[in-house]
Amino acid sequence: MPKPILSYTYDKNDTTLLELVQRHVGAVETTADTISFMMNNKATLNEEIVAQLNALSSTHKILSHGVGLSIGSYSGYSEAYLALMDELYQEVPLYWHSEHLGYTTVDGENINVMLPVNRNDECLAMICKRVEQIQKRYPIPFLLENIAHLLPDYNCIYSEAEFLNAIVRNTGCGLILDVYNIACDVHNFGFNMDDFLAKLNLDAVKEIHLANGSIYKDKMMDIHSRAVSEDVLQKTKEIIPSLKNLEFVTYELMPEAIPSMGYVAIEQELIRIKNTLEL
Amino acid sequence: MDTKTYQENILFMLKHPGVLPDEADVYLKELKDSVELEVTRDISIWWRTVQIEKYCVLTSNYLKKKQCFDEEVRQFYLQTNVSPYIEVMAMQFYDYLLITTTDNLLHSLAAFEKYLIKIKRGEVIEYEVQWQYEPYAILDMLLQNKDLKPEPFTGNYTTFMASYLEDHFEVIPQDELL
Ligand SMILES: [Fe+2]
Repeated sequence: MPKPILSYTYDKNDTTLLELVQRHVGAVETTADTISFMMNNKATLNEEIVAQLNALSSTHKILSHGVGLSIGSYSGYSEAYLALMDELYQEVPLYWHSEHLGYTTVDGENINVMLPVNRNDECLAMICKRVEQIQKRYPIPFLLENIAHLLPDYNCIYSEAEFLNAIVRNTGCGLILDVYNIACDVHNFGFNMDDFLAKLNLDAVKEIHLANGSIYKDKMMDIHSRAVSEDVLQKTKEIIPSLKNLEFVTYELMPEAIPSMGYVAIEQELIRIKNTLEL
Repeated sequence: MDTKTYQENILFMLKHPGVLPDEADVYLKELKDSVELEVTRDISIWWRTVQIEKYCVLTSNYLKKKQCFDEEVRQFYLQTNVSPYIEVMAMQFYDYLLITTTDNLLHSLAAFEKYLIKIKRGEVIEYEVQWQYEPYAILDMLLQNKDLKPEPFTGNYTTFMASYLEDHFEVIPQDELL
């Protein structure tokens, strides 16, 4: 089994950071929504970042990881996101692309936060149909990520693992396992991580996400602002041997957190993750 | 509730703190005053705060000095379909302030910053904003992070803004316009 490759989020035009991190990672993960800006009522990718990703693609894998698809909105996913994804797909050689299993808009109105879908047959059919449409549109693998739950479950007949397994079974898509998001669910809702992992189709997991946030009103928040906690890192180390199709481990850090964390700490964090997980 | 009704109700409750939608079930009744809903709303407002303070520097600094920045962003979020794109969100925030504020200095400042951005983007060629304070003194307080004491600088001024001006604007005392 080849070793998984360390990857890092690259969403900000920062060549100093890019030069620094590319020595430690074999892939970068970019978010089409974040590297784009609105001009004349149309979202457009930042040309400089696209050029940097293109140059990097000769030595590193480029992964796309969206936030604005809103695959779980009952009224339909975001065509604006797909237009950006079309552009990114045309401009940059992508290894695969992924999104979150959630919704960020309702009737076209932004809720400005990611919320989970209700795990029932209505949503299962809706999600699977959309995954298949996306798979037809882009002939590269598509992955879905488990998100941190902010609200209590409603009208769920499937467990988290059963729901993800059913999507994988029906569509053949892959999964991103965000270990920090699970840790948030454990902290916020008493979610049982071991039970989830025991029931999840681990063969579908092709990527792991690592991140850290902060506690607010006693809730652990999925913010991507800090070094990974020792708990999450050790849990990840424990899980990795059972993920036989795992290809990437991505350290997620939002662009807004780069100045406060600093280049040195980011580099040290990448080295720490790489050494601990033997990537 | 089916998915459509559920998602519409969640949106409604995020935007209307403490209010229940029609025909709310037990889940929604329990959710109304829950910490989970409050945290969800706070996070989504917090993200807007981070983006707005970085992009709308002058207006954000002014609101912070008046200790009402967080509340204004909160009200803006509750009343607006906020775009995820800061380029659009910033314009929505200025428009919200221009409609809602009774503070004439904030009104001038928000209009000034809004059109300065539009001129730099090439969306507008010329624009004029009226002030009841001397604009340079106000801008100095905000950019140098000095105490906000506008009272000694009252007077009628116009900022004439244009893409072809070196600094994109000039200050004209009203006397000179007469
Ligand atoms: Fe993630």
